[in-house]
Amino acid sequence: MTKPRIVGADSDQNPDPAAEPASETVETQTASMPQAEIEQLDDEEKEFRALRRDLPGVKGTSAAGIVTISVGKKPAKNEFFSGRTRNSDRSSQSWILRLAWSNSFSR
Amino acid sequence: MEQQFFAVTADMVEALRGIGISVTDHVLYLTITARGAYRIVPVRQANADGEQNEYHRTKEIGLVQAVDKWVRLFTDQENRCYKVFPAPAGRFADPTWPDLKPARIFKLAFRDKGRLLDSVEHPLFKKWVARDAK
Repeated sequence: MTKPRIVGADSDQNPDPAAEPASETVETQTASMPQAEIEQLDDEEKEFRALRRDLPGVKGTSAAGIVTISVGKKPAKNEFFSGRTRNSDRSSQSWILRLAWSNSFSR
Repeated sequence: MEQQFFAVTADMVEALRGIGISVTDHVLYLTITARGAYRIVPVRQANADGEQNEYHRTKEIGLVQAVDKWVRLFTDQENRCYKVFPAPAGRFADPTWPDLKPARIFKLAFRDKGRLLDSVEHPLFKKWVARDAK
């Protein structure tokens, strides 16, 4: 990102831009840009922090590298599937949870 | 109408029974389709008398077989059970399982979707007992 320049003002002070030493131009830009960029990033960061709503315990599933894991009564219809229990194949331990199935409630 | 599974904490079992929802132990199987969709399939276990629904029993047979090979379940309506059709060997590549610990899988599948009933203040429980706001 480059610093905005007012062409008219520059033209008044330096009628011939080609006459200006290239090194001086570069030096001016490198000296001024990081500070401006830092200030701009700070503003963006402040704005972003004001907008975002962090909820405890919510980190997003994208961090896990997958979109979702559904839960269903049976595997996807007419699809071949592979399965496993617990964390590794052939584990002697299974995941066992207390589950409730609700299909009798309506408003 | 919600037709879905909910994980239930121990202290919520009685509260749910009081409103007509039974809670039973399920063995969870993590499955992946050939197209890469992950799904947890819970299987209801036998009751105290050792009785198990034939659909549940045969579904679990298919899920156990799926640990070794790609399979497809289909319904045998005449016999009221599932049957297993294995894919030809080499038809599908080995599955790529997510590198996730069980706790994270549980979190993704249940807690993050509001399907962990751990309190009488849970929005769904309040809805079922008509204590939710209109």
